[in-house]
Amino acid sequence: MAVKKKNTDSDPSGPKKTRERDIRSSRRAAGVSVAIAIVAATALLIVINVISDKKNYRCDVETLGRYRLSDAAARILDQMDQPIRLTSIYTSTESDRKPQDYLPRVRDLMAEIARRKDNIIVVNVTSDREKAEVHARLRKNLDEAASGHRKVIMDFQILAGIQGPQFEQLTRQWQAYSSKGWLVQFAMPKLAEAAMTAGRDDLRTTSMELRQKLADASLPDYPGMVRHLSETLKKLRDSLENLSVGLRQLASLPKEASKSRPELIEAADKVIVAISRASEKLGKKDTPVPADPSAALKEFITSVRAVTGSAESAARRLEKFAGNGFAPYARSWRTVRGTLPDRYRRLAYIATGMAEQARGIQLAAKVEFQKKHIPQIRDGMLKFDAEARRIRSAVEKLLKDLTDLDEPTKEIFAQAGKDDYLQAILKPLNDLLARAAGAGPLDEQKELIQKIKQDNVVLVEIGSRTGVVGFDEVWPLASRPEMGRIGDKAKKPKRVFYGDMAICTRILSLASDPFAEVVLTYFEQIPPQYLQRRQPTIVGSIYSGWLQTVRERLERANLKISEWNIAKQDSPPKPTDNIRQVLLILPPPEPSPMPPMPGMKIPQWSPDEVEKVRKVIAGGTPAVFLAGYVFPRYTRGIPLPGYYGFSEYLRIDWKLDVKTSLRVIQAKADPLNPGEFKLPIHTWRHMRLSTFTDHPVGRPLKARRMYLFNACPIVKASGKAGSPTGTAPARNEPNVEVKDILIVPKHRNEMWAISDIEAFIIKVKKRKPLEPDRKEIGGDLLGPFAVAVEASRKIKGKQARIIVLAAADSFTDYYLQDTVMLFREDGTIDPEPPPTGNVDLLINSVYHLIGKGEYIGAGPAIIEPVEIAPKTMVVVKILFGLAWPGLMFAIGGAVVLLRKR
Amino acid sequence: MIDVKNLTKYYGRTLAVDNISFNVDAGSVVGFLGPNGAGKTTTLRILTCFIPATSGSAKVGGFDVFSQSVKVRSRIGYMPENVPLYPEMRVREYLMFRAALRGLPSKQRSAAVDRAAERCWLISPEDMMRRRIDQLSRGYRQRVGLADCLLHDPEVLVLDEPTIGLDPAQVREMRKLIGSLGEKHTVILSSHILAEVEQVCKELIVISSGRIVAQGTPGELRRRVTGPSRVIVEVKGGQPELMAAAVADIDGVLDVQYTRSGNWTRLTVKGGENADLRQDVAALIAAKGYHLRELRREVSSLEDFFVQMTYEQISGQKGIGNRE
Amino acid sequence: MRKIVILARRELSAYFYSPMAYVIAALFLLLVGLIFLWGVRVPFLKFEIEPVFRSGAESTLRPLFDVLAYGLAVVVPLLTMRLVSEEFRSGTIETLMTAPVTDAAVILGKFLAAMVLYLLLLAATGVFFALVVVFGKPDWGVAGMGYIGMVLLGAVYISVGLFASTLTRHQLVAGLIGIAILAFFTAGLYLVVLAIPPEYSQVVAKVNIITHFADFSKGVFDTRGLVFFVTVTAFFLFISVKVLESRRWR
Repeated sequence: MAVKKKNTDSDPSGPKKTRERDIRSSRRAAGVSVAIAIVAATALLIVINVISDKKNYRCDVETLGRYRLSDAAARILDQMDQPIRLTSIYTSTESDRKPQDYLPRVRDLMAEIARRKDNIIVVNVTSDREKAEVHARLRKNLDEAASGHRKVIMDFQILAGIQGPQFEQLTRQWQAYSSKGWLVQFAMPKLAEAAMTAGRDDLRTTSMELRQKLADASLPDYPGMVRHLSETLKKLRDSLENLSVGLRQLASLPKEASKSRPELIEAADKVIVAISRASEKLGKKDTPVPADPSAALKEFITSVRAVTGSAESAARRLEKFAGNGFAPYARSWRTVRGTLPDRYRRLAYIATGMAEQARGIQLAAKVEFQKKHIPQIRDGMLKFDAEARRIRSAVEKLLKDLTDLDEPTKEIFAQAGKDDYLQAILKPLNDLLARAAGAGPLDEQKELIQKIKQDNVVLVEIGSRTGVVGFDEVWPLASRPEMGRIGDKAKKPKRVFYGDMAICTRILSLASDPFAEVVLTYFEQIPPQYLQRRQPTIVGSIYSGWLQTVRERLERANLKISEWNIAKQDSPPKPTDNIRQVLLILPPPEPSPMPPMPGMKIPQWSPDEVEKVRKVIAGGTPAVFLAGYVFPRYTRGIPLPGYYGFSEYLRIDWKLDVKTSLRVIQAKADPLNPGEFKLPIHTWRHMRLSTFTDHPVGRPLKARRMYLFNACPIVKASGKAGSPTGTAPARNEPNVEVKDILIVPKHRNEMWAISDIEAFIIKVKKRKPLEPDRKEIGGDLLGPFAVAVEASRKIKGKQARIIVLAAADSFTDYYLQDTVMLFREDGTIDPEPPPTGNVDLLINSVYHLIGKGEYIGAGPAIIEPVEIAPKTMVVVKILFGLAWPGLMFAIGGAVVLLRKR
Repeated sequence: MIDVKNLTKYYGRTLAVDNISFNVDAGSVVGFLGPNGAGKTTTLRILTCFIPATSGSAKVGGFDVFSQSVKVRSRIGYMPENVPLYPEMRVREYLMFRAALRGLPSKQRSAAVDRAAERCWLISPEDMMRRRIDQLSRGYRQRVGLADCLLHDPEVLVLDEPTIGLDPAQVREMRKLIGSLGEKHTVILSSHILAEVEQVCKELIVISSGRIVAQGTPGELRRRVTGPSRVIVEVKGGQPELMAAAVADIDGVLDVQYTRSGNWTRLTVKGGENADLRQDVAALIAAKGYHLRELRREVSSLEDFFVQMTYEQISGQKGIGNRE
Repeated sequence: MRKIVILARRELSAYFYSPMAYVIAALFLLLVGLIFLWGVRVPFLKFEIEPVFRSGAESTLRPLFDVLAYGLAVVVPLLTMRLVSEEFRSGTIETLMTAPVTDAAVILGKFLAAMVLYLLLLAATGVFFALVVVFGKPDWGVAGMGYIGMVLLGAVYISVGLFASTLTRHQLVAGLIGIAILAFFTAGLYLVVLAIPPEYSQVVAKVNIITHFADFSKGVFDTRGLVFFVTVTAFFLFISVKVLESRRWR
């Protein structure tokens, strides 16, 4: 090797012709030459290693292929012909995302990808400076893509500059309004002043916030900024429009008041007249009571009822006058005793009361008693009269206040009455709002903007499209070991490498047309808000809007999403570009036993709807059914088993009995009491299950972290009824082929499906030992049973295929975005990232159904575990841990002894 | 056979060998003589290519020790001063290893080992060849070392202090062996003891403080010895002072010293150069009637010369040679 | 070349005729057995190695190798510390170097001897692999690459230990120097990597022996690792020769 060649050059025993040389210099020369040789060797060492670092050959010798590109990834890369740019940005310093552990892996992968195809450029970024450069480049692209947004934002800044002073001026105008002005009675000047000040402040703060966001080095969220400014603008517009409309309405008020004046005064007078008439019937105060009190009372009752009528009519008059106008906001409308109409109403109410009282006395009491009471009623009538007069003058005051316009107010009204009032401000504002609405959500950049802020990402750029793959996609958390010791709290959860598929599917989705269209199939009726009182909202156990994460992931897996609301359309939407369709069928809503209003027709889930789905599937469109445990519905305390709209269909057509009334639980064997179990509380919500079969959908997920929620068992429906697990009979469909995907195997005896959830919860709450209810009928279901299956059959020569995933709740947003909390035995809580791996089960299912099984990622491999009995282990320990080194020792002793002689 | 020219060796700033030059003819046995730290071992190490010289040249069998070190090394058998050996090996194993290391073909190795062992009296007792080296006595180790040197029948044998640490009988044997080796090989041996060198070597090189102070056959060197003759007398029968005084009166006596040993008095009588005073002293003793026990003349030996030379060197050139 | 073999043979006989090789071998196997069958747990240091071989664990030797990569940084210098320093201490260097052998041959011979001993030690761990084969289903690729990695790692460690041994005549000092160098290039650099910003830590991580070993231990062949191990071994052997030669002019 090259290193050795240096040897001869510097050998001090080499020719020494110059013996006369000064001793010291010759020694120094020897030292220097050796030093040079060592420096040269070091340099050579570095150069060779640098070269080998650049031009390395790497191959994965390990048979499971965990460190090479998976077949699926390779297949994706092979079909890419356009230039692709991959940038790994790894600047993390977090201890659990150690660059020294993870970065080399990313780089190796990138190198391998680059080696596979010439058209792929790979860039590795590790320093913050390089990262900033990439960001700058991305920002340039983003700025181009978001030019509309940026224009809107810039215009907003200009607008803010112009309108700030305008609002200021409006504020000042209202401040200058006289405190005795006409509008003061409506508190209008103060309100207007406050609104204008708020408008000015909103403009200023929004403008400042936008400026800050733009100055931020990372990629600005343009759509978010546009949303922000739109909200501000809307608020401003609303307050300005309120002002303008208000002023216009107020301007008409004086006229209306003078117009209504006679009418209102007349009504008020009528009340007074009616009261005095009624009073007359009983005579004046201090005069003798009428001789025939009964007759007098009778007359009185009639006239008092007239009072009620007149007071109510007066109230109505006033209310009519107020109408939708501003009169009720006037100060004189509200007196100390209440608003004017209210006072009339009270008057009317009391009058009615008096009439009733008088009637009672007249009918029931003796004459002496009646006589005794009349003076009391007289007193009441006097108070009554006084109140009626007071109200009348209040009405007069109101009318006076409303008609008494001062000059400045008149001027304001004159202005407000013009068409272009405030339009100088409103028009540009509305224009900008319209443009902001037209700027769009910038969908393609959304992911970039959101994810680029992470420390460790891989950027995929194809043409002008940019995708981002985050650290947690490249290294999802591994499934914890299913056997052996669990719960070492000091241990961080292990991550498994999934990078090749994460990156390659991203490439795929950016570069190629969608493989298929996933039709989100559901039965929903959500009436618009204004109709919600009259129309019921009908949604299944999973609302279609709760599947944002699933939609996003499916799109990134190069699938298109469309929707089929069975309640509205009879057949799925026509596929765009004639690509294949896959139905993703959500649990349908349970038909309600009776309509909310008699005779009302509402859409209901019915066998007809099942028929629609059946037709589509029979036509060759594959489907993924999301089912799951359904909590029992209680009717008068009697639980009715959970409803699943497709259970009949699946049982009869597909021989699948989806037992939605059983819930799979994951307990833990009690080490002290064999046969008894305890329930670790987190398994209720986060049940870890990755016992996949070798089915292509599940096999890659064996080592992936899967948490399921509300899972229910699927068993094969048999021909006969009354089997131990209560399987219902199925139609004799000989050609149905069922393959398990995810199962609860027999040996997992700590897992079973419970039938009586109530009793179970009570047991858990009381900390009683748990064990499966082994009753023949109505008991619990023990393994083996499936949680996900594929079924296929031929229908009229066409191959129909479905996959049933019986843990629907595990795919909703709230589940996929929720931190997993694992409760340890010692009482500590171990938070883990959300179980996003679940979606892969769905994606793999779709891939499998559309015949793109080759793109299913290989997934992290599982290594066969050691199996050894404890007793054997003891022997092994003695033999190999102690005897083997002991043997070495003995041999040594023997040799030394032999050599002694 | 060995040709040394202007050889100088510094250890750091310390001068160990100072510009020495000498020649050794093939087949001669040369003694390298000098006190401890004179530079003997250094010179020998340079000759055996263990360390390089600072300047000057040395050739063995016509090959330069610097540029043709391997050739030189294969022609030399070198026994270092303390005979370092691998303690855990058996004698035969060691010799076989050394034979292999010296490049002896594997077929000849065993024979070569047997031959060398025989020459160095390693065949008795019988199990000697099978003994572990760390169980050997000093003398046997020395023999093993010597046998190692002889394995490949080298042209030149370099023996550094071959007799040091041996008992007298062993010393005698070693001397005999070296003497016999001189017939076939060129031998350089170093010693700080004159006696053995004097008997074995045909030629002596006396070195002190890194310099050659004398060179020649033992006879030549002896001839260069100059100094007074001495007569040693042991007598009894009178006062020591008186006896000394009486002897001092003899004509030609320069100085008399006396020491007592029991009843006897030992007189050391110094006379002029090359004078033999024995007769005069004997006559005086007889005349005085003293009892005589011993009477002998001492001539200045090589030993004296050696001491003289090296002493002069040291006193004359302080500051250079004495530091090592 | 023949001389290298001769020297190596003598060196090996020195190993096997002295008790040290057996003591080290026994201790090494005890250590391996401890990690393999019992695991190590030091609670107050929060240090824990689970037993490699247990029911339910992956059937692989990989965790063992990963730990041994650090453990050997201590064991190997103990094996190599006496190689040259002992020659200096006992003076046999003089007979050795005046025999017709080159310095390079001496170093290579000693390296070869230590390597053979190391390979024998490694072969002794074969019984543990046999256990994995019997009670599990190991990945042969991983196991094979792991052993290759161990051999290359051993070569580097031995060359470093040999280099340390040329520096001093005191065995123990040589051993400590060797351990110190190896500890720095394994655990030491690991700590350095944690402490510095990522743009530099990448370079530093590449100098770490463990980084390259990790590839092998997980079953990936990479020329980078091979080149690294071979060149580093050659480098340390080269400077060992230089140090041995330096006695000629020092």
